[in-house]
Amino acid sequence: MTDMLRVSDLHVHFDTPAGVVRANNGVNLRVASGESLGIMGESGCGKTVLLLSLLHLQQPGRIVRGRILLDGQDLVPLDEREMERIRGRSIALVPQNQATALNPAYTVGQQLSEALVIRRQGGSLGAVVVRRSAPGDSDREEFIRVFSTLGFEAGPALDRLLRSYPHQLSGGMRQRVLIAMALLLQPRLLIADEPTTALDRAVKAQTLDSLQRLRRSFTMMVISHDIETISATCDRVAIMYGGRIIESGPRAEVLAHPHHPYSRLLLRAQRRERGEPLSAINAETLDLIHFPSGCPFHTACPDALPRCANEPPGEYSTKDTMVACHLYHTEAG
Amino acid sequence: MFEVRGLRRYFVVRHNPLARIHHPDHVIRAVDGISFDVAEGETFGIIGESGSGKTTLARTMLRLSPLTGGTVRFRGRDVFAMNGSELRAYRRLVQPVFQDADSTLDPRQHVGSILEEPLLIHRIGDDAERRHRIGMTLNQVNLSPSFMERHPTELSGGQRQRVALARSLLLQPAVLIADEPTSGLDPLVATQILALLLRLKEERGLTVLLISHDLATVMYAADRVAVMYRGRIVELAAANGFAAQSIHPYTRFLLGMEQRLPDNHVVEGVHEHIHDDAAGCPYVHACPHHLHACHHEAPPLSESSPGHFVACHAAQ
Amino acid sequence: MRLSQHVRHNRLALAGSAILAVFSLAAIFATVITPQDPQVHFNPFLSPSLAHLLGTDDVGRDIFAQLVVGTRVSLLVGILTGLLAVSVGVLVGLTAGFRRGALDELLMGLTDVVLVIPALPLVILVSVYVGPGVWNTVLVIGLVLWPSTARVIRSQVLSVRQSGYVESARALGATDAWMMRRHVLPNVLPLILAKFVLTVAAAMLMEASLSFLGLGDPTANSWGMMLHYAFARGGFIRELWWWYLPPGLCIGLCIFALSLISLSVESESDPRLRRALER
Repeated sequence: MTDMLRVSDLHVHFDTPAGVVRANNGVNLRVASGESLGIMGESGCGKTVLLLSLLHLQQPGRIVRGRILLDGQDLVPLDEREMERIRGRSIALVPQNQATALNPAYTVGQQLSEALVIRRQGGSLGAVVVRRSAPGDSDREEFIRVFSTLGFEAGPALDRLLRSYPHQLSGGMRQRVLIAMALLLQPRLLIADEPTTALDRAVKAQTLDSLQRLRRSFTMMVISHDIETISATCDRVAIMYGGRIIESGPRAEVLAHPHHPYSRLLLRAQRRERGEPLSAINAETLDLIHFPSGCPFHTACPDALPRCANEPPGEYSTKDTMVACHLYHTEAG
Repeated sequence: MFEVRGLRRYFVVRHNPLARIHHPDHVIRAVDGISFDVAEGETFGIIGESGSGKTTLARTMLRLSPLTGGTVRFRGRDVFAMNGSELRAYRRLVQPVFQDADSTLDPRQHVGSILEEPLLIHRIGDDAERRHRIGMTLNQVNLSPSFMERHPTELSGGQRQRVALARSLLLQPAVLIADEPTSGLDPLVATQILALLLRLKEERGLTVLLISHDLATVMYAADRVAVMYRGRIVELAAANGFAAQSIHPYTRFLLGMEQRLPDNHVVEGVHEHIHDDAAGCPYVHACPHHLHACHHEAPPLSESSPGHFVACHAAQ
Repeated sequence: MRLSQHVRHNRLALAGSAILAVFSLAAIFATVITPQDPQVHFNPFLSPSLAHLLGTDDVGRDIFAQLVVGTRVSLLVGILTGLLAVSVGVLVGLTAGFRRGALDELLMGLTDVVLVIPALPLVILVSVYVGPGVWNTVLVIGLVLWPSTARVIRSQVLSVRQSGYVESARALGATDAWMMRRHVLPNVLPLILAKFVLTVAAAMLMEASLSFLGLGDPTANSWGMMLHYAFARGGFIRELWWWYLPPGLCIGLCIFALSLISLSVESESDPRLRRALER
């Protein structure tokens, strides 16, 4: 299986008055063709910056080092014009905030048509003018195809949906529309950024349902801190902390038997079993400017070794799992 | 501690005279006849999705929102009949913990000033005493007193929530009404805040009303759980063994989603296109077990087994 | 006060304040500064020279002297009108925003009516009726400038009232008066200041317009009045730019300076704007 996406040693820095913020520090990851990779991490771990860097939207940050290979092509040296072709067409993003990602002035049908125009013209987003007319027939066929992938059949309900304005839809429906828009572009890689920040259980269930259907036909990256979301949508999972991937492997394996102390904490913290005390630690947010020496987690790590304070751990892998932790240095190699 | 009877809160949506031709005024029954008791020292959990009326309930109980009908009694006294010093005392004893610490903390003031406010309002202590008390309370929520100089915008989500918690605690309340205290926070932080909340409850002997859409959290932390749907309580039972013993179809639906059961009756657009003034059970349109009676008569909340209340015709 | 701190940091405001300071000083020390007495009649229509920096007008009065003394009138009218308009506006805005209900509807209705009527024609009309005089001018212009302040203040009051932290204060047991003092007022003050500055600018412009049309006070020789005479007594036709250009420039400069200051004061009230300006 070839790698659709391969990120090597990615370093992204932000210059601020307070100092240089090291948002990504040597990220290595791979997404095989047809696979779905989940990225778990909390705010500040660098997952958003990673995502933006894939699309060259990381400004004012800068990519200091590393390569981003999409089907073998390195995206890092590309200029803006070339990146515009990549965005939306090769890599499509389903954004986080479904409430504001759609333009309230146009109907759903019109906005979806815009996506099709982009795809057909092979042009960049800047060259498109949204037409105020209703979508044409060939457009409708595409819409039907895409929505049925999401489990929403053709019929009067779909017609009504296409004629609606974003504010008339529920959160779940808007999320579906955003996913549909991304699908219409027929991307090689689909990225969903925190798709279940929707508060409602019902909305979450609908969204996960949609994403699960997509798994079959698309290469995906799902970014989330929610275990349920990752469980439902991913084949492999990578856990990020302090701008690095600190653990990765097959989803079931990592979720059931996390190795890295941080992974264990992250996963265990979400457990709510009556009678068991909550596993809460006083984890203060990592200072990305004054990066601790050695392993970034060592100050909060319950299992820290002396060397953790001085030496950043390398990546220790077995056949399909990886841990960046000194505790596993002797086991693997 | 609390005795709520037949609480109703309706919102009337009035359109301007021209629009009224197409859209007649209609009533949104945010809270539609809720009754329950909260014992002293108990953790009472309320599970509800958006649209269930849980936030309106919280605000009404805090008397931040007016009542359309029913009563709320605190230690035997009618909350909405209170005035002046009695009302002030009530506010001191019953404090909220809201979800969005972003908006509950004034971004212009620094933390010390924000925390000073409750003490100033109730004229507690002098400058030195207040500073001391604020410092102590900050310690209790695991923040160092140096945080007094910072502004809310400089703090992380978890830190802001802790400041909000500290503010609620400064008046030594007897009751905390927490509406979604942890949603929007990262999992580690959320667990931290929840653990903090529970620890404080133990230490100070508080009564807590925990309102959330997060089943797992509510079932973990509460002594008794009530499930709200569209302004009504559909089930009320002990939290221990709640999952196994629940009866109401909506509760089963929520639990099914929680456990991702494949055959859970998936409800498409649950909260859309429903007429508010329809009689009968509010869940009838989505319920797989509905009977004829369900369309016409709203089922009352009745005791199906000791301590276990359900509002469902089919369950009888 | 934080204002002075901010002014120091903000170059725009600094520039504006500097300009305004020059004019203010000129106004205060007018009689001392002027090399000539503006009332004395020299030879008419003289070109600029060392003796008469801006020449003389049609009856031989030194134009530069008039300019300097005119600063007093123009600034005074502007400031007094600003004070009047903003006071009324704030009162109306606070009351409407805080009380809501029927009072709010009534006040806003009144505000809207005045807002809708075109300002300058109304001012001209009333001015003709009322007659010339500095106080009349202040009153008349103040009449049309208060509504925009009222509206702005009211919105701010409403938005603060509905904000989460005001509600939290209520949950803590705060009274209306407390919330007004501690939360609403501090949020409204910067806005009042910004509005005041802008109102002064608008008032100066309107006064100049009124005077230019001959409706100002002929005894109080403001810049607008100078323009009026320049026009009426042949300054334009004879292309005596040293007569009509300076007053116009002064008006423009003052308004510009006031706008700069208002920008920085406004940003003070909104931290988001502040960051954008700093960049």
